[in-house]
This record gives sequence, C-alpha cells and structure tokens, in this order.
Amino acid sequence: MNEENDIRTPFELEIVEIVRSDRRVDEKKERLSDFHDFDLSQALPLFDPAERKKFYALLDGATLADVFEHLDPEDAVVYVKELPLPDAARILNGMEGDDLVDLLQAFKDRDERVRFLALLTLERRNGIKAMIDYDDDLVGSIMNDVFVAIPPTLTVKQAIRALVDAAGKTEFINNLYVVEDGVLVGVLSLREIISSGNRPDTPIRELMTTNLVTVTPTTRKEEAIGIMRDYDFMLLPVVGDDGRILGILSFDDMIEAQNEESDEDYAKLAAVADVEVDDEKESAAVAVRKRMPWLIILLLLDVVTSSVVAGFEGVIAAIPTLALFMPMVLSMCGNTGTQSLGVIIQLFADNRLETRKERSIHLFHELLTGLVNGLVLGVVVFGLVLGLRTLDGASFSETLPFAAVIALAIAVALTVSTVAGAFVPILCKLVKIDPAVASGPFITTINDILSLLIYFGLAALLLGGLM
Amino acid sequence: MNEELKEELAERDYVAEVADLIRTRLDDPAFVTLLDEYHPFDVSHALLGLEPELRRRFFAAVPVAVAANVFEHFEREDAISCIREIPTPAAVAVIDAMDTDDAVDLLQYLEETESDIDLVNQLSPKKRNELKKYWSYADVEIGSVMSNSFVELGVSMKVPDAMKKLTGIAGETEYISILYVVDKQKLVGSLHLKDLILARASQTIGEIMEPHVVSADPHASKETVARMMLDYGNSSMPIAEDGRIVGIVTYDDLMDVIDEIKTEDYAKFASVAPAEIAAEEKSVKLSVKSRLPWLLVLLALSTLSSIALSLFDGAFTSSDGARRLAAELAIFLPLLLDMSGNSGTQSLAVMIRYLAKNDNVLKRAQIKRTLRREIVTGLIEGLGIGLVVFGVGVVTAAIADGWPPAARDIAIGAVTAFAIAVALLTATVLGAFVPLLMSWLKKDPAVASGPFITTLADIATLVIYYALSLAVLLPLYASA
Repeated sequence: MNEENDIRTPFELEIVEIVRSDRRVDEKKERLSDFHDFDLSQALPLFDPAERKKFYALLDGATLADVFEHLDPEDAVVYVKELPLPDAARILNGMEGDDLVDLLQAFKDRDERVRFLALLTLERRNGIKAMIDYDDDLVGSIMNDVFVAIPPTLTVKQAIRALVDAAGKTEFINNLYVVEDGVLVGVLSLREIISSGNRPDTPIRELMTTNLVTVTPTTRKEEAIGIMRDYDFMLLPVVGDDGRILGILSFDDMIEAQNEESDEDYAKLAAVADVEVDDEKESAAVAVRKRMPWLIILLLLDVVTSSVVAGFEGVIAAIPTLALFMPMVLSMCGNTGTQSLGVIIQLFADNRLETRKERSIHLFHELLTGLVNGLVLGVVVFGLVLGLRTLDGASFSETLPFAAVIALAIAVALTVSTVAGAFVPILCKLVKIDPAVASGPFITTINDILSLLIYFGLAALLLGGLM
Repeated sequence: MNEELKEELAERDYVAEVADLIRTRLDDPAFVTLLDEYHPFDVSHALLGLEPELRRRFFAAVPVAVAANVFEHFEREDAISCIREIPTPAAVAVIDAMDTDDAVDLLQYLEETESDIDLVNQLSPKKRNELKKYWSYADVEIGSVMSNSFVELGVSMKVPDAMKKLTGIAGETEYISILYVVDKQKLVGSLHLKDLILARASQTIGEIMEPHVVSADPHASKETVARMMLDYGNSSMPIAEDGRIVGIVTYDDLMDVIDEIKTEDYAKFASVAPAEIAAEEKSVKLSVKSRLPWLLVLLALSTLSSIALSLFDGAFTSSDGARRLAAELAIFLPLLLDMSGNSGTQSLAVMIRYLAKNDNVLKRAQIKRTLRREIVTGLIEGLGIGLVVFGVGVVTAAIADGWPPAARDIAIGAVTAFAIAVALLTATVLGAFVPLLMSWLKKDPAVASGPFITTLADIATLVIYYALSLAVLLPLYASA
C-alpha cells in the first residue's frame, strides 16, 4: 500500500509551522491559501489564543467562515467567543445556514447565544429561524439558501456572466436554477452550460430541463437521500407548495445526515438514548445519564419475568435440572428476536410495511422462518441435552423424555420469539408508538417472558409424572 | 418507495410519462430529443415496466451513449436480464460505453454460458484492459468503485486553454466540479471548476490550483476513503498509484459506500447476514440461510452457560434445602442475565460506533479513557441497579412473609444485588473491551455482535451468581 497516500498527511503541522515562522505576512497568506479548509480547521486547536488571532488575520473572510463550518460546534463556540465581536459577526454571517444553526445551538448559556444572535444580519436571522422551525429529520432543517438563480430570459452568454458574478459568494454552482416570479421553472447544469459555450446566443429556456425533481422542506431527510442516490444528484432543490424555490440540499449535508441515521439505528437496537460519544468530554456521569434510565425501565420489566419464574417455583424445585437449560432457552429466544427485529427496523426505514397486506406477508414469512429455525435447533438441542446429561451421569431412559421436552420447548419458543420480534414493532406502529421503543432489549425481555412460560409450562404439563 | 415519493413531490409521474413516450413515439424522429428531457433513472424504471419486445426496440432506436446511461441506472439483476435481451453486438457496444465501474458490476454476475462469455470476449481491448484492472481490486477496496471519467489539466496550461479543453469535453465527462492537475503524469494539485471560472485569463493552472491534494491508494479500504471524504467535504477524491491519478471517487459513490458499510455493520450487530437486510425480495430460504448459522454458533456458546451451571448441579441437589435454594435462585436468574446482557449491548453499541468514527484505530490515550469511562459507568450502574434489586427483594419478601423479613431473605437479596452489580460491571466492560480486542487483532470489531456479547456476559454472570450463592447461601438453606 502506498503509505504516503493512504495515511492522512499531517498538513496541519505544516500550517502551524507557516504561521509560527518569521516569513513576511503576504508570503504566509499566499502559502495558507493553498490548504483545504478542513486542514486549516484541524490546525486551530494547535494554537494558543494569541496565535489563533494572528492566524485569523492571515485568512480572508470567506475562507474563515468555511474553516468554522468544519469545526465541531462545541469547539467553534470556544473560538468564536475569543474573537472581537465585529470579527465574530463577519464569520457567523458568512457560514452556511445549517452549520450556523449547529454552532448557535452549541452555546450552553442562553444569554450568550442571544448576544451572538444579535450579530447576525436581519436576513440571516430570518433564514435561520426558518431552519429551526423544521424538525431535525426534515430537509428544511439543513437546506442551504445560497444558490445561483437566473431568469429564463437570459442567453447562454448572459447566464455565464451571471454565473461568474455569483460564483464568488456561492458554494455550489453545479446547477443554475431558472426562476420566474420566484417559481422554479427549470434547471441547467454547469456542465450543460459550459458545453453550450460555443452557442452563446441560445436562450436558456431552450436548454433548461423542465422535468424537475424537487422536495419540500417537510420531506424526510431519508427520502431526500434516496432521491439523490437514485438520480446521482449533487444538489436537490427544495420548493414550497406553491412551487417557489426555498433553497437547495447539497451532497455534503446529505452524507452527514446519512451518517447520523446509522447512529439512530444502533441506538434503536441497543436501547441507549444516544450512541454518539464526544471523545474529549464524555465522562462516566454522562454515560450513566444516557443509559441508566433505560436500564431501570428494563429492570422493571425483568421483575415481571422473575415473577413468571416464581410461579413455577414448585416445578423447578421438583426438577432442578430444568434450571440448567433456562439460560439457553432465554438466550436463544432473545437472539432470534433480535434478528427479526433487526430485519423489520430496516423494512420500516425503507417504508416497505405500509399496507396491511405487506405486514401480514412479512409476519407469515417470519413464522415460516421461525418454524424452520426452531425445528433445526430443536433437533440439535435434543442431541446436546442427551449428551450433556449422560456425561453428567444421568441414566439414558431418565434423560430421554427430559431432552424431548426441552427440545420441543426450544422449538416452540424460538418460533414464537421470531414472530414476536416482528409482531411487537408492528403493533407499536399500529397504536402509534414509535417502534424504536420496541428496541432490542425490550424484545428480548418480552421474549424472556414468553419463552419461560412456554418452557416451564410445557415441562409442567409433560413431565408431571417425574414430579 | 419511489412511486410514492413521486406522488408526494409533484403531480407529474416521470416514469409513466417516459413509458408513454416509448409506447407512442418510438418511431418518431424526434424521439431521442424528447427522451433527453428525462433523467436516465426514470427511463430505466419505465423500461422495466414494458414488454421485452418494446425494450428491445427501444435499445435498437437510441444512441449507444443513451443506452449505456440507462444501464448504469439499472439495479444489478435488471441490468443482467436486460443485457441478455438485446443482440450480442449491441450489448457489447453498450457495455463498452458504460462507466467501467458499472460495467464491472454487471459483468461480474454474468454466468459461464457461451453467450455471456461471447459478450466479454467481444468487448474492445481497451475496455477489457480497464475491466481487468478493476477485477484486480477486492470488493472492499476503493479501486473497485472508482470512476475513470474525470478531467486532467496540465500544470502549465493557461486559463483560457483549460476553459477551451473543458468546453470540448464537458458534454461527455460525467463529473467536472473538481479538475485534477498533473505535471509529467504526476498528480500535483486540484482545482475547483468555480476557481477556474473566476480566474484571470493571464494566469496558469499551476498558479490557481490547490497544491495540497489528498489522494487515496486504490487498494485502500472503501471505509477509509469514505471517512477521508467526509472530513474534507469535497465532492470527489482522486485515487492515485505511485503518484499517478488512476481514477476518482465521487460523492455518489461515497453515498453508496456509506450505505453499504451501514448495512453490513448493522446486520452483524443484529446477527443476520447483510444479504437479508439488503434484499429487495425476501424468501424464507434466504432468511433461514442468513440467520441459522448465527443461531447455531450462539447455541454452541450458550451450551457453555449450561455446562457452567451443571458444575453447580451436584451441590444444589444435595438436600431438600439446597433444591429450594436452587429454585429461588432460578427466579432471579432471568433478571440477572437480562440486565447484564442489556448493559453489555449498550456499551458495545457505543464502542462500535466510536471505533467506526475513528476508523478502527484508537490512540493509547483514547483506549485508556474509554475503558476507564466504561469501568466507572459499569460500577455506578451496578451499584444503582444492585441497590434497587436489593430493595425490591426485601420488600417482596416482607409482603409475602410479614415484617421483618427473615435473615435468609435478606441474605438472598444481598447476594443477588451483589451478583448483579458485579455482572453489570463485567458486561459493560466486556461490551467495550471485546470490540477493542477485535480491532487490535485487526478483525472487524462489528463481528462482536450483540448476541455474542450477551452470551459471554451470561456465562460470567452465572458463574458469579452461583459461586456466591454456593458460598454464602447454601449453608443457610442446608441447615434449614
């Protein structure tokens, strides 16, 4: 493997070296302008506050805003607070809306946040307010309101002129949006306009695509990600119900959203409020606060499980060997429930269980899967129990009915647990509880109760003679 | 999902419009121009709804470039069945015109039948060479998804010349947002198209480019490159070998890679095969094949817990008192097992995500801090839950037998509480430690799935609980 290419080059050290060197200011500026905003942002924590001030002076306003967009919001807050207010204002006003919102939300102190909010231009403040109004999982919360809009009456040559004018202050110029009275009427890619460069007098109206694919601010991020993936779009316009263009979504924000989504999936399977770890700051206290409430709730459920076992105390006292295989029954049923839950969470995420028919087909599917798995594992368990008990010195004739009962119990309990892993989330959805509540541990606990009832119930019924 | 989205987004149904267009205007000379108004994704979906005969006529009517574009948007299975529908020479031309990474994807799943082999043999030598190169990359390597459609500019080129070059090739180059600058075939810089547009005519490319270009090796893992791209937020990243640019990865590849990684990790966490999560059509056979192997492995593991328990079997069947104790212990057993499993799963989920964010490589200080955090977390949780369990145990006993509870009930409550505290601590640390160990062994940490950790925690919990009871409680019961 090519070492130099595979390992991230520590550009930030080079940057630090340049800032600390005794080169002339304009030479430093020139050198720094060659680095990517991300690398510049990585260098920030390496400076002391005085050096940071010098560093800022070497960057132009737009770059500085970009650098702040790359920072963790918590860090960005620290650095913003170091700045004189006019400089902070310039940076904040230059940042992309969604990053700005993240930064402002990272202020712990409300008064402080208000003070920095006051630095924003009225236009900016209104833009952000619109974003905050949208829920975190809707695209309205991450759309970007800076894009290139042109009227349909322009010619190619005029459009290129408009593009060049806008390019300096617009991050994404890959698409030109053709807007008439505020309404989005067409899209033209930069590629198309560049390759039409030799026909400068062609009207835009003739070139533009009118078959628009758009979303509204209340579209779920997940859906927008799907559209962008299907169409290979780098940008996706957001329009209001009246067709007016409100903003655009860019691939970088969508990819970030895609990443957040996977954190959510994990949290659902694992029953933690938030699986994201903030490296430097997450203390045990924070971790306990996130996880303990779930554990307490699950503990209460477990008390129910224990009372089920308590109901069978007599059976267990009569046949103590039953307790031997209890952990196996519990763990196998928990596992299979987790499996079918894992599958159904994805189906829900893909909106593939919308109709009653789809849901019943899926449940039937799980039933069959559970039956097959239950049968196979039942046979294996039968052999295992026979083997284990015989090794323990129990007689074969005594063990045989016992092994048969445990195998049967596992087979039935597995089938039931497989279906439960799918049925409980569906039920939650039907009664409008977030299916996320039916996370892995909940399913496991419910399956514990079901499987114990089946296990001890069958044993009491079939092994009554042994008692 | 897409059908439904369409309805939500606009009243227009592009797929239906395209299907209609193909049915009614296929012979119209203006057909290709009309079709050009639609996105190839919609065209590909419309085609799937048509009769095979009409599809054949469609592919015979449109230029090869359009057909190739449509094929790039097919799902793999659809692409395979459609390519078999059209005559071999036409199919060869289409594959020749497709992006190489998409062509690879298609050809990989052809079968060893004569006609399929024919197809590969008739491809242009250039395409076959490119394909061979792609085939040399493993599925997990970024080389297998890179694209070779990008713009290279010479470092000494003047801005107007670069613009002219770009104008000429913009039509057939898929991606032009970032241009790559080479000097004697070595990659020396990158240039945003935006900066080229804003540049003065007198400048050279070398003056306006960004010289600090970060590239990845084609053998680097997809996951590594995805993380680099996420950090830089660029819409593409160059792939270079020995300093020469061999391809680029673009934002759309990145989205696919992230989705793939997500599916894989998630499937492992839930102990099913990724194929089941990704499958469009689910069959019982697929589900059983995906889940049964995991269940068998986990069964083998949980046999260990039964074996561990059977070690105590003798002691707990020695007298009537002992039998009663065993039955009472069994009551709390599911609670203990479940709680330790839960806390293990929690710390596991946190750890796996944390490792994934750091590319599976943690610094010593990070490992220390993480483990310390999990140990303290496990201690606090263990103490808290232990206290609650003790309280519940004593109160239940008091309700059943009247106040004050018997010494024996207090003892069993105390033992259970202590066991749960130790079990929670053990499970929490295991959940963090096992993935760390895996990554240290250079194994994928996600292999340590939830059920795997739960089963390990089970065994530890059982041994702790029964050993403690044997030592502390058995004397109380045996004498009773």
